[in-house]
Parts: sequence; structure tokens; C-alpha cells
Amino acid sequence: MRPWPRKRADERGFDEFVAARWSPLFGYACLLTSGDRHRAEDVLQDALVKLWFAWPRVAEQQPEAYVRRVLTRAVARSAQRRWWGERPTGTLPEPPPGEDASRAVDERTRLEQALGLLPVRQRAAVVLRYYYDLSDRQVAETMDCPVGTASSLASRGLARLRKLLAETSEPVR
Amino acid sequence: MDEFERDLARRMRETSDGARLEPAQRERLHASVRVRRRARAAWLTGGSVGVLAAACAGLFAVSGVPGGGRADTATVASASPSVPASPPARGLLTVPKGATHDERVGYLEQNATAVCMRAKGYTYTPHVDTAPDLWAAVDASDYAKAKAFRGKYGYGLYSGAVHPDDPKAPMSPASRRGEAPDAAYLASLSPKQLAAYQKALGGVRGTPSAEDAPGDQAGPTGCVGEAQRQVEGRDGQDAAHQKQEWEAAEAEQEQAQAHLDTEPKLVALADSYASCLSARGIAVTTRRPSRIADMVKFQESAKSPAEGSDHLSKSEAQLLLTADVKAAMNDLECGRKFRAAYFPEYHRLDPDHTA
Repeated sequence: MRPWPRKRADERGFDEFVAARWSPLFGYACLLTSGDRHRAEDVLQDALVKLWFAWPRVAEQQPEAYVRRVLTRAVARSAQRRWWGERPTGTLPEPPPGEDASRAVDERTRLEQALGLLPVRQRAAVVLRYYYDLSDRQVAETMDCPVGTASSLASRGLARLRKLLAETSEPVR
Repeated sequence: MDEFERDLARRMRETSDGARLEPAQRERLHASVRVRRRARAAWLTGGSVGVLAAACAGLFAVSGVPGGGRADTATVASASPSVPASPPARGLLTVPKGATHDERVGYLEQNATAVCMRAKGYTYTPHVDTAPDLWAAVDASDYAKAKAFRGKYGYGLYSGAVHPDDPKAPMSPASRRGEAPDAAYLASLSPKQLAAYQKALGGVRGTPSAEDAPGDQAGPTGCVGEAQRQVEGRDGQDAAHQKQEWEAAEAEQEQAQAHLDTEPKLVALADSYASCLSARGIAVTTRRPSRIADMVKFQESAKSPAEGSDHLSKSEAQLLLTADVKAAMNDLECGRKFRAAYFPEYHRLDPDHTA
């Protein structure tokens, strides 16, 4: 069997999808990887390669949902195997001193660090719920788990985030 | 949703603000797709995981291969002792004994392309880019070949710059000469003549190799397209057939990988392999049987310059080659028992494997 060259219309549709949805997908990958942008890009690139091969069957359905599923599973698997040598510490480091102009960046960094302290499935559930505004049912579909599990993961993740971010919300001296 | 949750959603969405797909990212994606397509095609045509490894290790011309009209095709032809010596310029290829169906198709298509081009008045020497022996050496499915190869060339990332005149050194200028047997003829053509030659040969976007380029609505054009239709008896517009093939190939590969990754003996051997690498100071990023044999190779490849090793001085390249050889040999020795069990199982799952 020799793979036949893909039709140009297929290629165009894929390229248009990637160009249009890169930004939100990259954001999702960044949150899943706790702000590691290199790793986020790597997992997103891998997921998009998989999408390319699945494009004929998912293009007319929900390609973004497909990529979200692939990304979520990839990050969960890699965390299980510590592919990237993650070493959660359990506490957030103190925020670096900074001016107001960098406050937004600091805020984002704190959030990403806090997300990094959540177990990966809790992290994914929280991000899917709040970043993508998905229902528990949609989160469950993405994570391939029962709705109750998705709901529980998101709730526990949210509670932990509240605590982590509250602990470090004091103004920087 | 309370205030904390609303704030959380807002902060999360700020994460992706300003992230746009850059041309380099788009190109990386396209290059990855091309690499994966080749790897899958090779899997289907009796290759091995080493194909993917070779692609990532720079043995395939994804990028950084200067010049040449076939920059989108494998660059290892001349290093393959199993491919018959180049025939006389006016000759045609003989299909080697024991060729798989798809290898046979490749040879026949080359011959048909040559007949077609010659009928139009052009010079065309048929040639098949395949190097199973080299792959066996790089992916170490054959320990003895791998030891000889890796001991001299490592993973082949820098050997071309150190041994420019060695046709067996991957990416060496000498090895590239064999991939374009009509290079001298093509160089003698004027730009107008070359354009006409490429049009007659076929393909899209100016790339003679239609197989790797995106097909247009009518499928590959010119002599390449005619040869494919003649040999495979297939219509380039058969999208349903194409889709079926891709899906079947994908399912087949996923099933095979799932089996390899859960086979208890392989899992245990992969674990020992990983421990050995760790003891030698090599980072272990996966213990999956279907991945671990290529892991070190990928790591070394990731460290190598994206533009290839051509720009390195010989002394710089020599230092890097020494490190490449060391990593490749450590990987080979640590994985010896694993590979001895893995490749027979891998080939057993590959219905097209004839070795």
C-alpha cells in the first residue's frame, strides 16, 4: 500500500484550521504544561501532526476537540512517565520583585506555576472547564472518563488552586 | 461561577494572547508531517522504525540538504549495498530478488518514468532510494552492522562533515552524488530547459518528487503520474481509495504499537535497557518498547544544528562526531538484548517484511 498524495483542498483546509486555531490551542498547551512554552509547542506540534493524518475523518466534525483530546492525553501520559523530568515542590516560589508593567506577566507565571502543582488530570479538568468553558460532560469526553470523575477532578483542582493562589496573593514587597 | 472562577478564566485566556502561528512553526509542522508520512510509508513497505529515526537523525532530507532537484527524497541511496549498482545511463533497473510488493512497484515506476521521459527526448536514469542495510545499521536491528556503522559514524549526524569523500557517511557530499545520477545532465540545462524537464517529469510546486508533495486534483502529473497510473493502475482522483488506505495504515500501525508496548518480555527488557542508559548518564525520557530504541537517537538529533553539519569546520565536526559515536555505542550496548527480542516481534507484525 502506498499512501496517495493528499488532495490540495484537504491541505488547504488543514492549514486554515491550524492558522485560525493556533492561538487558543497554544494557550491550552501552555496551561497544561504549566507555562513551559517549548514543551507546549512540542506537544501541540505532535498533536497537529496526528490531526493531519486524521483530517479526512475529523475535518467535517470537530477538529479542535480532536486536538484537545490528543493534547490532554499526551501531557497526562508524559507526566506519568516524567518524560520531562517534572519535580513538583508542593509550594509556590515567591514571586520575583517587579514593576506594575510586569505584573500581568507575573500573574500569569504564578497561575502557571500553581497549575503545575496540581496532579495532571486535575489540571486538565480545571483548564478545560475555565479556559475552554466546557461542561462537565464535554470535559469527560475530552479526558475519556465518566462525567462524575471529570466533575470531581475539576472541583478538587479548583479547590487546590484557590488555596495555592490565596497563599501567594499578598502584595509583593 | 464566583469571582475567583471568573478571574481564573480571564487569567487563563490571557495566556494565549498574542500567540500567532509563525512561519517557522508552520514549516516545522509541515516538515514533521512529511517525516511521519515517510515513516509510515516505509513501515508499510517493509522498512522499520529506523526510518523514522533516520528521518529525525538527519538521514532524510527534511531540511538542510543543499541543492539537488530531489531535496524532498531520501538521501541514503548510495550507502545501500543491497541496491543494485547504478545501471548504464540508458538502462533500466532490475527488480531485486525478494523485493516486497511496494519495493517492486517503486522499481517499476522508475523504469516507466524513464521510458516516458526518454520518449520525450530527455535523459533520465532510473534510481530507487532505499537503504535497508543502512537502516538496519542505524536502528540496530542488526547488531553487527550497527556496531560497525555506529563505531565509525555514530548516528550519522556529523559524519558527512568529517568524511566528505566517504559515500557511506550519511549526508556526505560523496553520498549525495549517488542520489541524483543525472545531476551533471541537469546542471547542463538552461533554466528554460530545466523548467521544461521538470514539467515533463511531473509533480507539483516545482518538486519532481510528486509522492511527497501535496497532490492536486488530478493527482501526480507528467511522467511520474503516468508511471504511477501505469504501474499501480490507479486513478489519482480516487479520494475514497486514498482515505481508506490512510485509515487502514493508521489502524494497522496503532495496533502494532499497542501490542509492542504491552508485550511483557519487551516491557521488562525495555526497563533494563533504560536502567543501563541511566547508569551511563543518558537521560531516559521513555520506557515504551516502541519508542525506546530510538530515544537516544532523537535526543542526539535534537542537539544537532537544524541546518545540518555542512557549515561546521572539520575539527568542530570531529569533536561532535566523537560524542555522537559514544552516545550511539552506549545506546547500542545497553539495548542489545532488548533489540534482539524487539525486532523479530516487530517484523512478525509487519506483513510486508521479507527478511
